[in-house]
Amino acid sequence: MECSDITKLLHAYIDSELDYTALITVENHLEGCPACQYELQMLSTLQISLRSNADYYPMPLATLQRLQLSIQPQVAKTRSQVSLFKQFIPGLVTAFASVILAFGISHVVLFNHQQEQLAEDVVASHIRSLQAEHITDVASSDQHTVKPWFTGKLNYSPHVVDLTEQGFPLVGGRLDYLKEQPVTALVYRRRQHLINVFIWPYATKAAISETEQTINGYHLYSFIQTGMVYWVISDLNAKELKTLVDILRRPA
Amino acid sequence: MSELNQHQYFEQAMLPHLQAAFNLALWLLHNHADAEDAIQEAYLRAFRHFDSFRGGDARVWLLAIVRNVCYTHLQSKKVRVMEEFNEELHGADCHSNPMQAYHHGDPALASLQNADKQSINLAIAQLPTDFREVIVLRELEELSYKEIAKIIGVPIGTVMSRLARARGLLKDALTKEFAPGSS
Repeated sequence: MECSDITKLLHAYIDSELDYTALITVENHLEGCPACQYELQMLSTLQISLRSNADYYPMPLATLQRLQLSIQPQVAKTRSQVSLFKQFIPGLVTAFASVILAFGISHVVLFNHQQEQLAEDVVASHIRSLQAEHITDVASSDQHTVKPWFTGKLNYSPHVVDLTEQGFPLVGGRLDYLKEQPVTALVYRRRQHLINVFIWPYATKAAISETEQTINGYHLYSFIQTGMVYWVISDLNAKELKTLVDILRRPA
Repeated sequence: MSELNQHQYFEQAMLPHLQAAFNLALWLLHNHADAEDAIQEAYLRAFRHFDSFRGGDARVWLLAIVRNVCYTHLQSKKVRVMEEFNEELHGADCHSNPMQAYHHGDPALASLQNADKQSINLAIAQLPTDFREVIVLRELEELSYKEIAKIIGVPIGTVMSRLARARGLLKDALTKEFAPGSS
């Protein structure tokens, strides 16, 4: 094949979109052709430059809220067409069932409720943090900058570690509030996905269990590690997020 | 599915992709207010036509709607100056000859490596819309050719050629001073 044919394939090559035969053809050609090697280097460099420098515009929180509100009236309208009676029946049934459940296994329900509440708060904090310029109070990929920043703001010292080598660069940290208590929020990045890691000291009475769940498309993991409660949340796919969780759970 | 469940299901399916949708809208429209309008319209449209979403790839589905809305905006504002790419102006021979590139050696490569945020954003912003969108979808969203083809509504081959042209233009813009004939 001519160089001009190969250079056309180089795009699909750097994008991992070539089938096996084409891949072999390109790699064989590259071996003996410095010009195409150079072209490949230019393309890869361009790709890296674009990915690390191009602006990724965060959606303002107000816009998100407006979007969520915008579809509410339509729901209200369709619901009001249903007779009041019909509307109440499921509510009554639910209420009745809750009462029975509450009597039966009250503390389990309470426990689950607290967990759900907490998970929802974590989701809300995560979404809020994605607002422009609110994601970090201290923006640094240097763990030795981020960790001291928390000193004096919290009565405990969170374990801060940069995970760039493992593919999760540290973006920074901020002080957040969950259940009216200040918590550490560390922000990591995986490609364009931001990950919030909330950390606070484990109190024995607190309702904490290890969970793995999906709320509104966000994946959440919670666990306890060296006396600290961790909640990890992101829109990153569950599998890759689990990788981060496994890294965080590894003893330091 | 009850209306309320439908509503919850919609939010659950769309919420994780709104960020990508907003980013695409802003890159296509260049303007914050227009992007907000577009995303609002797209979101409502998506909600109204959620019946037609049959559990495929929610991101592709939403981005296709956002893209359509953005293009309508662009046409109505006549911002989209370049309908079709001008072959003569940006002919292939000015950037796709590898030997030529090879001969101006490392300065060109270095200028790609050291390109700053501002010049990269400017270079992308100056691409014709058809090329800018494939760059945003490929390099910022890291979508596959197949997904991009579905969003834009063109064959995969067209995605490949647009991507190649777009990268050629970006390369030229970022290595301008080393291009043959410019000195």
